[in-house]
Amino acid sequence: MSEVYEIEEEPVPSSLRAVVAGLVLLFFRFAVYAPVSMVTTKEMDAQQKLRSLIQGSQAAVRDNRYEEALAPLEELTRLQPKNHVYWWQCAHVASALKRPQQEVRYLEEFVKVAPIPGEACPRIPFLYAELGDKLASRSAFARCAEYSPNDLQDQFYYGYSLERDGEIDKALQVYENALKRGTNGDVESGYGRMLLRKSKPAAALVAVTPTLKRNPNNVDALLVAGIALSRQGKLDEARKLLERGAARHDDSDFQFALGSIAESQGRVQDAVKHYDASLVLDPNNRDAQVRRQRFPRAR
Amino acid sequence: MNLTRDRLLFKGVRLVALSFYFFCSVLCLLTFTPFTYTHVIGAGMFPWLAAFARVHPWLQALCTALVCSELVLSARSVGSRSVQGIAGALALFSVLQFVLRPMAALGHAAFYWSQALLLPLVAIAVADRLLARGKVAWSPASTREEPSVFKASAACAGLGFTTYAVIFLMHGADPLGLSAKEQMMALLLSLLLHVTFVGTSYVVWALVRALAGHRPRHAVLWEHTLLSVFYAALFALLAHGLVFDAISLKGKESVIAAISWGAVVVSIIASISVREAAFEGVPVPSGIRLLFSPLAFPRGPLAVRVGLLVAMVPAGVFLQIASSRMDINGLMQKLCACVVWIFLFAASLALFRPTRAPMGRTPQLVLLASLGMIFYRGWRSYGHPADYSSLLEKVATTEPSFGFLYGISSSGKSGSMAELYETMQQNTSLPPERPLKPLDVQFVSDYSIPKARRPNIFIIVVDSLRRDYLSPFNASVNFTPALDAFGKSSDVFENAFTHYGATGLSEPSIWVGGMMPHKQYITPFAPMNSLEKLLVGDKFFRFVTVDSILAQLIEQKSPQFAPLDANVATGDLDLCNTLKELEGKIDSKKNLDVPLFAYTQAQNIHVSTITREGASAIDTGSYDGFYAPYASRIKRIDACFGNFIAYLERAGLYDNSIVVFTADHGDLLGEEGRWGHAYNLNPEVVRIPLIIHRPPSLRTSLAVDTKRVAFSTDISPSLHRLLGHAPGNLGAWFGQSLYGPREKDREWHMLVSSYGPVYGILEEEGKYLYVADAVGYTDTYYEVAKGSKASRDSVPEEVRTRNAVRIAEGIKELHESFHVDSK
Repeated sequence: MSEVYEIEEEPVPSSLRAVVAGLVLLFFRFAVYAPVSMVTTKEMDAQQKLRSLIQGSQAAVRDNRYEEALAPLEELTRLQPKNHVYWWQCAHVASALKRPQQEVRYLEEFVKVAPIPGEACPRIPFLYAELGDKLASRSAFARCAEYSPNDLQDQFYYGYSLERDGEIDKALQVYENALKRGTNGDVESGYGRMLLRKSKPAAALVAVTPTLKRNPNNVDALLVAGIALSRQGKLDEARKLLERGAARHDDSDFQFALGSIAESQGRVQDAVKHYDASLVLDPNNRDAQVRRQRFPRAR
Repeated sequence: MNLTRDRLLFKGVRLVALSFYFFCSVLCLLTFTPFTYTHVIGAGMFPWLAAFARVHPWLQALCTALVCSELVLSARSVGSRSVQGIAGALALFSVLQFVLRPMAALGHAAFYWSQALLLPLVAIAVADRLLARGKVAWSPASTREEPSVFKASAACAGLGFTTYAVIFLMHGADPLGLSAKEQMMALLLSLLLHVTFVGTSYVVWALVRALAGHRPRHAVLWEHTLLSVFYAALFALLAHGLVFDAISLKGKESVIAAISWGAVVVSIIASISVREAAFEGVPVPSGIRLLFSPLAFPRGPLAVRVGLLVAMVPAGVFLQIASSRMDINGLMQKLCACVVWIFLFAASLALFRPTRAPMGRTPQLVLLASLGMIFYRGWRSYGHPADYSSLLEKVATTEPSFGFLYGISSSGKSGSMAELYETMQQNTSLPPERPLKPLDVQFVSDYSIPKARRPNIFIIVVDSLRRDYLSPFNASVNFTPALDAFGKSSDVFENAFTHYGATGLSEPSIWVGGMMPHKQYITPFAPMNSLEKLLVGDKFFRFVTVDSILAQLIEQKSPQFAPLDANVATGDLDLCNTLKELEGKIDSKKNLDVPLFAYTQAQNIHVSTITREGASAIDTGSYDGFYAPYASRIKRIDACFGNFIAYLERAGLYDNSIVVFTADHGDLLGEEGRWGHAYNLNPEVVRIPLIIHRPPSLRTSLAVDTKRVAFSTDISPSLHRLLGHAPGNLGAWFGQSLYGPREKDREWHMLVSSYGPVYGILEEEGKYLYVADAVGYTDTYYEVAKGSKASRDSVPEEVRTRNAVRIAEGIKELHESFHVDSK
């Protein structure tokens, strides 16, 4: 090749050529690097479906059309089984429809995926109780206590369920552990009750004293304190507390305790009157029945 | 002097000089880089490198003699004293090599030499410029080049795409199991991306030419200079982003090396081109034609030019297939693709010569070149690119040219994972200059002297061994009868994993019994070495194959220590030889009243060994459904292992020995078109075989669950337990005994590549594996039991979010455990 070039006049000036090339390079940057939506068609369809289900269920709930709300909500739980919110909403709707069995099923799914499963407590154990499944209820109270170890109310419910099943030592342990985490009138009263059952009236009185300081009219604490004082022979003090408690919450146990004190003080008529009142409030109160039988002729 | 002979001599000498000095610089840089020093140089991956280092001064002397002869002859003919001076300096530099021995330098000295060895190239480039001064006829601005360069670009795009489409269809599509429609789609998008980038290259050239056109009399000179600067910068960027990232070279050294490589390589090519133009003495029509002229035969006959261009297609196919079998994260394949594209363009340019008549249609051609960009943008906006991202990511692993372009055009860096990727990058491959104190890893506070003699311990590790190639884990395997029998009388852990992909950290983690910050290595290592503490505390006599990694980690000066495979390069470690040697050593020690320990990590089936040995089966057996070169070597290993077990039985040692058979990690054997394991955390890489034989006396006393998730980091605490100690639980980052009581594991486990920022989270009892890759800027979710092929179409956002948080937390927690500040 032996061509010798002369300067050739470019019909387009070099500045314009540079501008054109520069603009194209800018477009290259935009074409290749500018962000675009990276949502797949499948995801877009799924999002659209989710949106429509959510809107449908929300509208139905707003208008109290609970039956209609349930179908889209169930579909949502099928599409997103790990989204606890939909399980919660299903349970809410089942509750409004008064379907405890369905509600408890949804709540059980809720606790499996929820970041704070304790939110379903104590509803789950109470629902089992409502359905008459004592074992499941008891187990649910135990789970609730595990879900929220710092929630003293859940600890109390668990302890109380044990207490009702006569598992005094376990209940005592639960209450005792709960009290290490904070103060709670129900737990303190439960702890006091268990100490009474262990024949430790002085300790029981100490257990409920903080509750009474905070709330002198706490009936559970008044009952424990009254019984504890009466067992220590401080009958008048005990009577005052029990009468104060009975005035606020007329309960078979208060009446029985007052009857016991009246009997100890030789006030037979008063004792009979309290035992009768106790049996009216709870005809199955075995202790009151036994005591009342000691005075067959009294009216 | 005959001009043709002069030119041939000149080109030949320059080729030799460029190859030799650049190779020496690369070698020194590999020696400086901890990763490549340990795993390439130290491991003896290329045995001839040691010989090369020994004879390097002589080779350099020879190379210098060639260069100096050519320079002196040329200088005499033009009377240039400066060039003669440069030749003298080169000779002196060469003589100094005999004294300074750059190939023996380590650490920072190796880095300085990697730069110093480029100086001769700089000197040669300067000399060439001096010799060509005043002899090049630089043409003024011309309008004849635009159409020919455009045609050359179009031909280059077409041929390049065809080359890699052939590679994809022949080699890449099958392992991915793509349908015909998916293959067509992949090819179409590949074509679009290639056309986009080739078009952009044309536009860059048009811009450079337009800028150079401001000085019409020197337009070609300016174009040549500006293009040289542009390509030098491009070379530096690629070296830094592609090569140095892959070998974990970081810090200011990586920047300096990238810039110097780019500047020196491009300037020497530019100088060769100028010198050639001086030889020819004809006007230089354009800068780009001149710059690429040394890479092709622009003055050759048409048949040669066409032949060269056509030959690039089979050459590209061959290079890709050859490089795929021994690669690091696709690096070699991508580099080969870059080289093929450069030569393709040079050959295309040589074929399409400038038009005879002035044209001047720059804006039209520039707009035509931008068509690819327009269509590519259109597809990104309206083609639902997310629907194809999984397909394209798979194709990117098997088709290197597309993979390279897809990688550099990926928007992953700025996506929602950007912060995590940055965290991963900053806390991975911590540099040597970052001092970390070792943690005192103590599974037991006191190793009291045992009352009864301890059982012997033999740990046999086979580098890169996959569990699905062994019959205890895969019923369809019929070539490992000895391991089958061994498994039947041992505990076969079906769900075993390594925390680390690749040997660099997986082997140390067996000795530590836990994970460690990502550094090769924290020194002194002894405080972290729980296995060595156990062996020393319980008075074991230790036989250990001291490979290139353990050489940095274990105590070898004790009278209770004897090396195995002394004088054998790591890459040559053969299990059969090691076990034979071990038998002899056991015979000489078995009557001593001390328990014996042996550890070896064989390299028989490492990807580099198989490639070095020709990637063919070593026997004529049938291995249907398995990769024969790998399976046949496993068959041999199995026989040798069986012989060793028979020896232990004959010697009356088997029933008083714990024998652990395992791997440091698995391997990829063509799944998704990938081979090896360096940066991959695929299920095939992170799952390992783990079989432990216990003496009969220990079989009933300790409970074991062989189905639970186990790790190679559990081996050390398990040995503690089997030797009668009560190893403590050191937390989530350390192993737990596989025997006896075990505390509940956390819900997830972190896995890491040994060599780069690729992290994995193993969840749901080892059923699923999430991998975030800050090298390739992608993430994947695998169902472990189904292997790589079962990777989901796209990672669900909740999986990504959940595991991204775990990786970030994991890095932080691990560093806190070792009192390291996370970045």
